[in-house]
Amino acid sequence: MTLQRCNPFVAAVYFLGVLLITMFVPHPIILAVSLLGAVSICAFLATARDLWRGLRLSLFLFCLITAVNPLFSHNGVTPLFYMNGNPVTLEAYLYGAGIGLMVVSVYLWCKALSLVFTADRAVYLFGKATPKTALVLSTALRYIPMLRRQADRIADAQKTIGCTASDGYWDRVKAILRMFSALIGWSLESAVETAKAMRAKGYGIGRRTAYSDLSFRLRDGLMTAVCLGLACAVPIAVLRHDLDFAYYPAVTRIEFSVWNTAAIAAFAVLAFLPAGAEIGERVKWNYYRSKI
Amino acid sequence: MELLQVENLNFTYPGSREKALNGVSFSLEPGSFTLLMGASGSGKTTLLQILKKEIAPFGEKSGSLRLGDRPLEEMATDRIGYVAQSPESQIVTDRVWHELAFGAENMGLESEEIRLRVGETASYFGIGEWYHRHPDTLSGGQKQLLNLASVMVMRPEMILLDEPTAQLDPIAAANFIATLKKINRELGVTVLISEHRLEECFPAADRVLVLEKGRLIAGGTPKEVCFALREHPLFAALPSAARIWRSLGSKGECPLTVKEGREFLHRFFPTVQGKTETKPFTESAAAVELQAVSFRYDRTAPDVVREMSLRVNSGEIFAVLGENGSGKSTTLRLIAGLSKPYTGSCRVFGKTISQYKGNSLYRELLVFLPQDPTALFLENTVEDDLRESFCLMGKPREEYPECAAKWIDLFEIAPLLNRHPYDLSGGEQQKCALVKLLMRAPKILLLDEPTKGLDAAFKQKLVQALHVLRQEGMTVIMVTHDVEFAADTADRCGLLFDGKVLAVEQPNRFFAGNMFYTTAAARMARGKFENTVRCAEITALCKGQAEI
Repeated sequence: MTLQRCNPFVAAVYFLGVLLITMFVPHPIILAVSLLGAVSICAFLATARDLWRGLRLSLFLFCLITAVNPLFSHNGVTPLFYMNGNPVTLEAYLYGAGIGLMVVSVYLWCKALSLVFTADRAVYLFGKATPKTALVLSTALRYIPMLRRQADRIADAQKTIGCTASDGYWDRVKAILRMFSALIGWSLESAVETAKAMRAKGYGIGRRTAYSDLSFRLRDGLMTAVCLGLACAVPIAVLRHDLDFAYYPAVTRIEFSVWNTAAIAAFAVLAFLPAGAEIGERVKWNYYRSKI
Repeated sequence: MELLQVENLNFTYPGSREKALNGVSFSLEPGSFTLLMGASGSGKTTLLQILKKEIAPFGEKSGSLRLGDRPLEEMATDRIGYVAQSPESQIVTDRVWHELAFGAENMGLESEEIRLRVGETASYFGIGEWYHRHPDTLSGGQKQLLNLASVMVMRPEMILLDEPTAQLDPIAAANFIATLKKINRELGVTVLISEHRLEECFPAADRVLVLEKGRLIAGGTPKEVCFALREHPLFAALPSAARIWRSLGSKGECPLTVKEGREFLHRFFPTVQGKTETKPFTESAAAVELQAVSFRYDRTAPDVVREMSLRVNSGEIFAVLGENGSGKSTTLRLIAGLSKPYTGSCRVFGKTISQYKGNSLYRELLVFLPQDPTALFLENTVEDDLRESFCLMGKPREEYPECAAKWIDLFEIAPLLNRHPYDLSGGEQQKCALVKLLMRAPKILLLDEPTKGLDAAFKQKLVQALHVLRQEGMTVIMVTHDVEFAADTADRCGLLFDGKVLAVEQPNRFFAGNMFYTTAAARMARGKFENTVRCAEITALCKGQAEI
């Protein structure tokens, strides 16, 4: 079951788990796994162009952080060279690389999150907590594009009557202020009409229920349990000091034990779960289609 | 037993001396389809809103209103549904499905019940395909259908509609009226609808009520009302067939549809044949010239305008007709320089748009009336708005009264000058916007759907105003759905299809040649009169030969 087909609650638990682990466990293998997991799900959800842009930005961020860290941090036991009398150490580079990996992973997970959490799913999540907030959010999401379009219309209309005078800076500011006040006037007017429509449909006559076309099914429950189970392996390992790792003063040697291997494996399953589900879905679909 | 009974209803808005409704009495049978007609400002909206108690206006009210056997004030909200004019601002939420559920949520229904109601309503209205979409991605016609459907989820006995098709194109409007008629026929829901566009709605109604200045001046079946209104100015709003019937001496029963109109002509004028003569068109210098222009809104989107070539002569009125989404508005935006083509050239008086520096194109050469004229107004009263706009052109404040007076008289907006632009009706806004634009003494006027939401009287005035402008040598380019309006005003018409302007012709040749995309009068004249596309032309031919 892919994240988009799960109940938004499951997706929320999933992203929360993955993001927390990525942010607070500085173990390089965990971070590498997290990055690969994020890239894999983005590859399925984002368009090719969008993915390319995301990766380009990620690479830039990673290089920047790696290159900049040693300029500020002079800890570490392996100096590579000296700059202004300060040592530039291997450990500082590696630490920068680790932080870069973390930032980039978090960025890509957030990208995936924004692709999974369309506005209506966010509204659903809020709706479970407070139905009123959900309605406000829903009307706002309806309203903002309308407002933006009207702003464009006003700007276009004013342009064709030469009112966005390009004569001088002050004229332009005045023109923008005039258009802004017209936009406010329009939005009040339209809000009155919407309020009327809401009353005509019986808003405010009595107890209100909150309807959603999404439901929490058994498999959503199972999926949540699986995600939570997998995610718990990492904090347990952290508490047992199986995933301890330090960059300063010297980089820790990674030694594999049953415990940390198990935790890393569990996290790998978690990180690749959405991509795996996408692949599974496609394979299943191809199979079903072959039967048509 | 009547469903709705209104007896001697009077209503006065606070601060107004005149009654908005004056002694209105009528009753509606359950399951009837009633049309409420009247000029703008005759009290149609006031009456409909009073019948929907949740949105009833404040003011002094007297008279009795009963629904079934109980006073209207005591009935539950969901028994009467209400659909207003604007498709846009009635939609409350950000998803189609949520909008459908909104009313049911307000009634406090449980999820399972709502799911079923929403589902069956969506499938009845054919909403399935856009069920999960954001309302912003819907067309105007779809939005208005959504508004109707979301009211029907509450299962009302009666629905009130206030000019629901005023903002729609003719095809979407016909579709909306057909759906409404279907609800009425199949579900027995009582319908009370006010409308300006009567070509489809008038023959579809069981009963028609006519309001004038807050009084009910006629009521009855459509044919009875036709007969009663023979001498009344409101007759201009009735379907073409009825207008021809009246101008030919009101013989026999009044025809309402094209089919009945054809029968009427064949019965009373069986031998009359003829041809309308039109003056040949003469080319003059080009005002606007597009050469192989292509445009798309997004790099990956399809072309909206594709290698379009078009030449508009100076001093002519040119009408571009076409379907929704065929690129009509985009064409105007290209000419106005609001969108830039990725290939081809667009010239205004021989210079490309980029050769006009700064505001020189807009200051005295070209003005553009957008579909929604509210976007043009910036000040709190019409007068301030006109004056400010005049001063912004860099002209001295003292010259304003003189310059404005001419246009204020032509469009008769003197009584509106102290009102807020947003408080005006669609037609009034249109007129004020035109005055604002014409004060700039432009050479080219671009109009985007100028007749949207206008009643018959306003439309007639606009036709006259355009004729005055043509005499003054103004070039007018308009895009419109309104074939009757184009036939009445244009020197030449073109059909926009597949990103190109096809078949540029004079209106008579254009509409007489078209089978589907043509005026009601041309449909009636087909096979009998050649080159004839307007009611007045049919009347002239019938009269001319009948006398011989």
